[in-house]
Amino acid sequence: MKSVLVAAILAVGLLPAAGDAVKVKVGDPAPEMQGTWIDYAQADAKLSDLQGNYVLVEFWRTW
Amino acid sequence: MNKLQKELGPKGLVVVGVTNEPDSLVSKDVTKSKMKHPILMIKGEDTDRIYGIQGYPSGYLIDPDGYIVWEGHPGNLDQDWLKEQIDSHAAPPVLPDEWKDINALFAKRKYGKVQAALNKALVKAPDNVELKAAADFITKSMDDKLAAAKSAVEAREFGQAMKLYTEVTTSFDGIPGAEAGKLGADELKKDKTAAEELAAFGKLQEAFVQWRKGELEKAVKAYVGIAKKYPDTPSGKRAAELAESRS
Repeated sequence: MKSVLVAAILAVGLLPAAGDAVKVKVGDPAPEMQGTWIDYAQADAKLSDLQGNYVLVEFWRTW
Repeated sequence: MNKLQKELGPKGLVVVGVTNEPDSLVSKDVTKSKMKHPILMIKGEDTDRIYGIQGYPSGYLIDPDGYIVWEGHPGNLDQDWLKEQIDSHAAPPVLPDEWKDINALFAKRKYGKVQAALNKALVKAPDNVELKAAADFITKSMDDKLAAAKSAVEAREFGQAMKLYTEVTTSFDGIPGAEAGKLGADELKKDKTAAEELAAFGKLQEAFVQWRKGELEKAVKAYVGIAKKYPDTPSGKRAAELAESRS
C-alpha cells in the first residue's frame, strides 16, 4: 500500500503544476504547424511536409 | 537567415519563417528586407502558444525525423555546429529535371519504386554518374538502416529496432536484401524479453502523436504513465526524462 502511495505521489509530482503551460524543448517532437506559403496563397502548407530535411523555423514579426 | 538558406539549402537545410500577421504587412516586409526563404503564414495564436514563444524572433532546429534539436534566438545559432549536423545527414540526391519524376518518388521515400525507375533510366543512360550515385544512395541507406537496427537490438532498444525494420520493409520493398527487414521484425515479435520495451515504445509513439497535434498536457500525462508502467525499459526511461523536465 505504501509503495502505491509513493508511486502516486511521484506520478503527481512529475506533472506540471496546474496552469503552467507546457513548453516545447529540445528532444521533443516538433508540434505541427499549418498555414499557407506566402508566395502560393492557395497552397496548404504543413511543417510535416518538410520532414526528411533539417528545418530551421523562425517565429518572427514585422515589428 | 538568407545566407544560411543559400549556403546550406543545397545540403538539405530548409529555412522557414513563421508569422500570423496579415498578408499585406508580411509581403511588404519580405520585399523590403529581401527575404529569400519561404514564409509560412499561420492564423491565430495557437501555434505560438503551443511552442511557448515568449519573444521574437524565436528559432527551432528540427531534425529530419521531426524532433527539436536546438532552440533559441536565431542569431545565437552556432553555424559550425549546424553545418556538422547537416553534414552528418545524407540528403537524397537531386537528379536533373529530365528525371524529375524520380525526384518526386525520392521525396515520398518509396525507394523500391525509385530503384525500379532508376534501373529503367540506366538502361537508356548506362554510364550516367548521377543515376548511379542515386542507386548507390538507396543501397547504402538500406544497409545503414539494417545496421542501425542490429545495433539497437544489441542495446536492447527493441522499439527503435522494430521501427527501423518496419521502415526497411515499407520503404525499400522490392530491393534485394529488403527481406531482412521482415525477418528482423518477426524475430523481435517472437522474443519474449523484447515485449515490454515494444509495448512502451508503441505507447510513447502514441504520446508523440498527441504532442505533435499540440495536446501537450495529454502527452505529458501519457509520459508519466509510461515511465511508471515500464520503468526498466529504454522507452520508459525516455518517457521519465521527458516528463521530469516539465515538473
